[in-house]
Amino acid sequence: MTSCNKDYTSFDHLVPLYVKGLLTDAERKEFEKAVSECPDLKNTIEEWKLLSEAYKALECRLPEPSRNLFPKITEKVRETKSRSFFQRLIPTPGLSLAFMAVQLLIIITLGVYIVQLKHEYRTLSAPSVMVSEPIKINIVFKENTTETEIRNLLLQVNGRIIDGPYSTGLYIVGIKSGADLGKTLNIIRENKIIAIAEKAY
Amino acid sequence: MYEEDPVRELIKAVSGGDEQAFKQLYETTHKKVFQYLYRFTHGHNMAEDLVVDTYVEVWKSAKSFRNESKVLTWIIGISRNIAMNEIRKNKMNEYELNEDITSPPEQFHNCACSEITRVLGDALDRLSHNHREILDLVFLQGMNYEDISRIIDIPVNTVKSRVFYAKEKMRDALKFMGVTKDDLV
Repeated sequence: MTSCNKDYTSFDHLVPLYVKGLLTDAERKEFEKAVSECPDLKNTIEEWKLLSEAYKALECRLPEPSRNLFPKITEKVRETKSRSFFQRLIPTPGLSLAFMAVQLLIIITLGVYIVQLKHEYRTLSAPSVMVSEPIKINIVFKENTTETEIRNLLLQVNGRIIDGPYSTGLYIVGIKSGADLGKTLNIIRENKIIAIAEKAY
Repeated sequence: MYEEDPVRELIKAVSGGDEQAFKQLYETTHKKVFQYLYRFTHGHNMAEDLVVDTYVEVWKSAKSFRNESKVLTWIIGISRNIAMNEIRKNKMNEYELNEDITSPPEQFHNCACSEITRVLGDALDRLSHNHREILDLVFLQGMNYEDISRIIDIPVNTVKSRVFYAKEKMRDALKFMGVTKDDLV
C-alpha cells in the first residue's frame, strides 16, 4: 500500500470477504470508501477475485454425495434410539468401564458371601464365653442323635464342645468352672441322647 | 444471535424429535457439509461416512444448539470434529495436516475450465491443509471470520492471519509452478 497516503493494511483482511459478498452493508460501504481512497486495494481485490473464480470452477466439479445417505442416517439414528437404557445412561467409555468394575465387584462380593454361607460352621455350644479354665466332661452321644438335640442340651447346661469328636465318638464338653458339676452331670445323664457322661481328668 | 438463519426453526424442531424437520435440515445443508468433508479428506467414501456420522450427531445434539452461530456453522463444526477424530484414529494426520506443501489431490487436473483457473486450482491444491481449509471455508462455504473461528476453534485474529498467509503460500506455490503474476492477468 505504498502509494496510499494512509495505512490501509487493516482493510487487507476484508478483501476475501468483500469479494465473496460476506461483508455487512456498513462494512462494505467503509471498505469501498477505502478502495476509492487507495487504488492499490483494487489490485488485491483482483487477486482474490481470481481465486474466487478458481473456487467457482472447483465447486462445479466437486462430486455429489450419494442419494442413499439419508436412509443410512435414519437407520443409525434408530439404532441409537434402541440402545439399551444403561448404554444411554452411560455413554462414555470411561464411565462404562467404571460401571463394569462396580458390577464385577458386586459379583465377587456375592460369590464370596455365598461360599461363606455354604461353609459356615455353627458350633454346638452355648453362647456364653468361658473366660477361666472350664470343668471338662467326657460325653458320648447315642447314635442318630440330632444336632438340635445336642445344641438344646448344651444350652440347658450352659456348656460348649471344646474338643472332639474323637474316633470313638467322644466329645469333651466344657462348663464354667464355678458351675455345680454334680448337678450338671445329672442333667446330662438324664437326657435320652447321652450314652456316657463322665468328668474328664 | 442469528435470528435470520432460515434453518434455525428446523433445528429447533429436530431437538423435539421431529423426523420430517430432520430430513428437511439434511436436504438443506448436506451438500455443503459433504463438500467440506470431501475437501477435508479427499475421499468420496470417507466423506460420505463422515456425513452420516455428522447427521447422527446433529440428531443427538440438536438440543444443545445454543443459537450462538448459524446452523450450518454448527453442523460443519461437528463434522470437523468427527473428521479430525477419524483422521487421528487412522493416523492420517501426519501426512494430511502438516504445514508443508503437500502433493496435489488433483481435483483440478481434469478440469475443463480456463487455463488461469486451472493453474490457480493447482496452486490451491498445493497448499497445506490448514491454509486450504481456511480458503475453502471462505470461498466454498461462504463463512465469515467469526464463523470460521467457531468451526476451527481459533481466535478471529488467527483466522485473519491464516487467510493472509494462505495467500502468501498461494504466491509461493505459483512461483514453484513457474507462474508469474503477469501470467494470471
